[in-house]
Amino acid sequence: MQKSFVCIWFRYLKTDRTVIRQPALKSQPLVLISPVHGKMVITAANAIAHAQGIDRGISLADARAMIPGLLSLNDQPEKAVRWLNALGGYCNRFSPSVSLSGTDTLFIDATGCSHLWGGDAGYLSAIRNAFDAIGYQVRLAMAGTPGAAWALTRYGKDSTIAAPNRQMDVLLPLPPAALQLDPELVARFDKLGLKTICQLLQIPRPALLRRFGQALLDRVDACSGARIESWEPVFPPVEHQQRLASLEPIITLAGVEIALQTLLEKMIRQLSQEGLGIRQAVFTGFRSRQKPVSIRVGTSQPVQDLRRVFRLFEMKFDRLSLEPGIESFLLEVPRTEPVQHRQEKIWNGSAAADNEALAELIDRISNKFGASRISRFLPAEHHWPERAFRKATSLVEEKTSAWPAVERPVLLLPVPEKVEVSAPVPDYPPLLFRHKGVVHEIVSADGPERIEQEWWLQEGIARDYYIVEDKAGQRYWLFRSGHYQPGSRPDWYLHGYFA
Amino acid sequence: MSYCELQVTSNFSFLRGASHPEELVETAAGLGYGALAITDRNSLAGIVRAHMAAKKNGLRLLPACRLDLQDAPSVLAYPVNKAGYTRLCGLLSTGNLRTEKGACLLYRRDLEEANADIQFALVPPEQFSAAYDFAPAFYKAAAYFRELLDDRLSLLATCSYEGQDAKRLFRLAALSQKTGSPLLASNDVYYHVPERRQLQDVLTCVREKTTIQQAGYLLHRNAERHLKAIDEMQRLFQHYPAALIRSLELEDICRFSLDSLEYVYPEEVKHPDRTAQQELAELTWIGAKERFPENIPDKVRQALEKELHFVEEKNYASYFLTVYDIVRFARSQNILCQGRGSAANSSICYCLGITSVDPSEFDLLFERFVSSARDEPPDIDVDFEHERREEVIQYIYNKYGRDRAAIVATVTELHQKGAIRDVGKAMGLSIDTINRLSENMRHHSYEWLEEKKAYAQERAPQDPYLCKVLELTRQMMGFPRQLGQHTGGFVISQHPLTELCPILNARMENRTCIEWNKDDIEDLRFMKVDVLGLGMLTCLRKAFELAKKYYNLDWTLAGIPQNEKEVYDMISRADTLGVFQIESRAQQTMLPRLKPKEFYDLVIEVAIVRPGPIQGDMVHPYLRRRNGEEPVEYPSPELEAILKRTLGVPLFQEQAMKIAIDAAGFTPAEADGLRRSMATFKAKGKVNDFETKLIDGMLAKGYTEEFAKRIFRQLEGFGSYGFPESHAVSFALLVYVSSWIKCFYPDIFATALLNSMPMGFYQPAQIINDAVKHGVEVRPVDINFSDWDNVLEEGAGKHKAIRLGFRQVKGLKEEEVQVLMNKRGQGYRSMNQLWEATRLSALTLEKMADADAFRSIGLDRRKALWEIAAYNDRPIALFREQPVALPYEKNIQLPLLTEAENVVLDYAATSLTVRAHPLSFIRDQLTSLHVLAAADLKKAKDGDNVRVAGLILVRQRPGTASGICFITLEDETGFSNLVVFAPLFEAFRKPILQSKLLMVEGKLQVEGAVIHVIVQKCYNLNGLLKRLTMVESVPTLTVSRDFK
Repeated sequence: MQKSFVCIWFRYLKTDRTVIRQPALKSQPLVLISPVHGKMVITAANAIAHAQGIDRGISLADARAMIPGLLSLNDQPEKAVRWLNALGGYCNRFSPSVSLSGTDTLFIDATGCSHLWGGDAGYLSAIRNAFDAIGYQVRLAMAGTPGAAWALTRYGKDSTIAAPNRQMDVLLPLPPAALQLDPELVARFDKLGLKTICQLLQIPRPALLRRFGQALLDRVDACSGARIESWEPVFPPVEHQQRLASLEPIITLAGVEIALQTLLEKMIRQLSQEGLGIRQAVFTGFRSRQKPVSIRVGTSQPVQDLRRVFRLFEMKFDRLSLEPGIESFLLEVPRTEPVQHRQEKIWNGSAAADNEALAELIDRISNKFGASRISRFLPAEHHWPERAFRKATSLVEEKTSAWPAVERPVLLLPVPEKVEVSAPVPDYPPLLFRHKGVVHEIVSADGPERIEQEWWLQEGIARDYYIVEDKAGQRYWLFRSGHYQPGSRPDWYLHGYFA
Repeated sequence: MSYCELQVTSNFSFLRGASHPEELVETAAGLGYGALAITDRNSLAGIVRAHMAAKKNGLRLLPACRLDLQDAPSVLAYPVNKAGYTRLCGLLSTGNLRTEKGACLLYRRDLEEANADIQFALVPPEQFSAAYDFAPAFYKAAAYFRELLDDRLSLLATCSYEGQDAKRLFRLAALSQKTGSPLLASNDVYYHVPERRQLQDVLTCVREKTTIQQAGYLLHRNAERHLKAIDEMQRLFQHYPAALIRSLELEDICRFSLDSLEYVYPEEVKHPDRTAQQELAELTWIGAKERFPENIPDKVRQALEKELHFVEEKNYASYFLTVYDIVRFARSQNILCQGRGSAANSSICYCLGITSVDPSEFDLLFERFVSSARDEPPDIDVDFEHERREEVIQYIYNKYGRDRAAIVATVTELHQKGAIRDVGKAMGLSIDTINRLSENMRHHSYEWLEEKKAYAQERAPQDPYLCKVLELTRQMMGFPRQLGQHTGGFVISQHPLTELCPILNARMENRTCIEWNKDDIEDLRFMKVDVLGLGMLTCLRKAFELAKKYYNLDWTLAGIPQNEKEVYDMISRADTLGVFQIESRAQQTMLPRLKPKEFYDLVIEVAIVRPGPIQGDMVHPYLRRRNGEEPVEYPSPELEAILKRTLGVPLFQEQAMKIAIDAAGFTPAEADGLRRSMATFKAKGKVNDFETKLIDGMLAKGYTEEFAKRIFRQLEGFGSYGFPESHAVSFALLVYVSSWIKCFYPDIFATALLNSMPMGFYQPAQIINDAVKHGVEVRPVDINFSDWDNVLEEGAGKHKAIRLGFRQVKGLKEEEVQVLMNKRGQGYRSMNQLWEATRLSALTLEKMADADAFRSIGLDRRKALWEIAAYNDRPIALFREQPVALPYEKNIQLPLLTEAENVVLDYAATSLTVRAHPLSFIRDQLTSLHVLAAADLKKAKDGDNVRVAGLILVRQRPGTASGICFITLEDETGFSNLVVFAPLFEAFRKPILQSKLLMVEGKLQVEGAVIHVIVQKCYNLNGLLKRLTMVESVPTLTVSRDFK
């Protein structure tokens, strides 16, 4: 059968993706940058920036000189292949066999596919429309070899369709670089004045072989089709997918149900091994000579329950048109999430945490009086006492820093309470203090520990903290807000209790 | 009872201390301290500044430092006497030289070897255990140090207000009791006032590479580590009064002061039986006889006697001899050099061969520069050929040894851009915000900050955060950030330098530095010789060699005939491309106005086109006066004496300083302080003090306020760029010599210039164009004729022809070209023969082909490349030296190159062409666009609307020109100079920055011979250039369809 390949070049893959995520950035020049030897260098520019002369490889400073205020975002180079992979998965609708090239190009083995879309032109425009709709600008070409299709996307007219077995004709006027050669070789051809593939091919093969090696001829042959290029479909691009082929086309709903049941079983087995549950699933039937049919379901939380997913699909079975019979099935789970397993322990390690009864108690209290009644505190790295802790968001959250190395009260009052003291100036511990009408005579004290405001959060006066013990043996955390100065008496507060 | 602070970290502990040494000293003086120690980490870099400030403020500075040991807790070290100080410098040098620049690795064993005559104080750890005690390691260390140092160890005790002061003091007191080491009270100072805590927090974040939000416990909880009042310290240590007394005891024990450092000139430069003065006199008179073989003119004889007397009086003989020794070495190695600077303008220097400005022809007036009233060390900078300066540097190291010669440090200070970047990052601002804050920054930071602050307040008065960032930036500006290496300032001493100062490795291999910068050593009156590199000297030496080789002429700097009218005529035409100093565009526009006629005019020319005089608005008055458009008048007789040479307009640094002394009543030391501190004033904001003093002084002497202000503005400009007359004289000689060569031997001039690249303003292409314009034939690079360097060949006309060398070809290595030249023999006849003979790599040959260097064997660049492509398959054995093409290749015809393509490829390979200028190929198109050629601009009139186009040679936006962009375009007929005002630059930013070929429309401005185009519109014509290399013919042949 005459082979046919489509090449899709995502000219602005990374910036398109950025704009899809942040539509507000559309219609303005945008570049992605990465540091190279301590200098920010542009790694991708969108079409608008590109049209203004900004290209990969120039430094951000240079680009800013040309477009002041040019918007730049940090590149995440490692992600491009992942995105491309996902786009490849998307292409599955156009052909079962899709392959990746570099970080911005996809190949589709379109052999025998395009008639489903009413011919080659319809096929290409369907692909283009699909990516337009998402927001990717693509250049497309179709030819009998992947190499030729690649050449046409880069150097030919967009949407070129090379006639069967005539790909070399359209390649002839293109530059040698279209053969995907080593850049050094391309530069050498340029110097030799060989500016088109046609000029290159006028030279007898032995002369080319002598000078430029077998690799060049291999590339020519790969483009012409004289040599078959290896083809590695990348799938499964959707990480979780299962396929089922049927011996003969299935036209009954019962057959479909069995297929779905089988696929779901396999899928859930795979997912539960990875600790994942389904958030979205697509069930596709590939019909002979018809567009594939598919139904899609989504769940509100990760699900590993086969029946539950099956029932969701079942509700949409009426949308499946089975004529003239489904040859193969595909179940994909494009979106998964880790399943929250039921908690067996609440607090790891400590004695109290092992106590399931305690955990139950916590549950009962928080359910009865409201979750806000129960808190768990973790240290936050701040000197200022009110900021020195934070509320944990879960029972299992680990602390990210140590508690301060100095003494802190067991109970910290949410709001410091004013007290009256008798204390020698300027910063000696008080001799006694009065709190809620009760006078506490102080027998021993330590301090001051002087804590300044965290000036980047709040300006204000410092506090001098004292640990004091009264006659009754109770210990308190007192502080003086500010210093004694002529004409002003700073206020004293009680801020906590020690055990 | 009293107290002095002995634990102070200044900002020379980079990213730790948050105050300048001067600020700390001044604050300490204000608090009534009698003494202060600066204890930076493993460094003495800040102590000279502190010492000078201490002297000014009437307190005593204890030079000291904190030793951070790799295998023990840190100790503070206070030298007791000179011996102790020397030992400490040695210790630090050991640690410095052990590792790369910026680090100092010290161990216990170092301390065990060198600790005599030094008092120590042990720094207790910050950690304090839950049981309220120090870690056992600390107790062990305390015992160890006690045993090592006996009663020379104290224990530091500090009240940090971190909640455990009482307990810590108690533990330390117990330890003191047990070991017998006394407690020493300190406040562990990091900043002079508590307000600096915020900056210190920011520095911590920068150091730890985190943000203020993330820093957490890395920051201190309070602002207590500032200098405290003595009675407050007494209160804090009321239970341990002995700890306070200990500080005074230490102060009393440590009697060493930097004032007692004695710098001694090296002595080996003289004959052992003679004194330095006798030696100098001897050498001077011998030199004088060589300079003036007939007889020494009276004028010179008198000058020499007077100078020698002066030198004897000031005891400068060793200094002159040291410089003479370096120069003598350079001359013995045939390295061209020339001295400049105040002391260099002496007849002595001329006779010693240090300078080449003939005192019999010019008034040098040594004492004009070195006034005996100004008691400062003499100053001679020596310029050497830039390519060979390293030889001189290594000679100095070898002669005096690394322990006695070292390069002076430069203290890199944080400027606003770096400061805002650091502060912004630490405060967690986004890169975008930081960029927005720092964009459009001008050089002069103060105005800029005020402007930004106004902007921030106006736009976001509710955004105190942004204002805080700017305030902290202001504080941080001027902070030292690292020690660098001075370009060439050497300190050489009779005794090991480590007796004076620690030395450290420079970043460059084989270089060692001291920790102090040039101001520091000037304060301490050390000798410094600047060993600098100058490209023009390389060029001149090469020119001298060419003259010897091809014309059999002996040229020297001093031997070039003076006062040649033709040379001055050429200079006045601004025909100065490639000439020293006066080749820049600004200089070239000045020359036709100034019309230099004699040597002193060149001295003025060198000094006049500088940011200083331009900023000070002093240029035009000089020109107007010179051209008789303005009367030459002097505000007073005393100013007439100073300003007569420059028609009443101050142009030189010396004049401005002399005005400060004579007309504003400055002492010489004050005037010098004024000059020196100008550069750093901006950051520290003390400029007003001097302004007031100068203006008041001048008003008191009856000058107008306007004139006084003008003088001050000029002084401000001088601060960073000012040019002293003593330097201008030496430079002017190089200007004259290079002009003379260009005028009479343009072939030698261009060749020497090309062989000294990179240097100067112009690219090889322009130098070659210029040579061609002066009637010199330039021949292309060729495998059979070219050397590595450019050489001369017999020419048809008046001058010899230049044969371009392989050094012009990109990517070639000299060794490879040497192989090519060595094996050349009777010449290469074919590619194969060349291969067989040289075995050069295909890559190398390809580069030669790119440069079209195979013409002499009948291969153009394409054919050569085609043959080289078959390199790996070349005929061998029996078939050696056969042409490469095999029978079946016979008919391969590569596309022919057009001349335009060849030009473009020439540029790609060598950045120049000996063919036509690229623009000549598109002149027709340009003419149809009504574009004038650069040469035709002369025919247009002032105010005409014109269009010009050309390759962009230079784009400049000097910081001092308020956003004006100067562009020079080049076409096949010459240069055209464009002026683009700021708003236009913004509007046409893209064409201006992106074009290689730029076309502009604008108004012509003609001022005498100076022609400018004031740009109104810009167009990018890169498209036209591209068309030069487009394939002209579409391939006609088709490949057979069944090609597989």
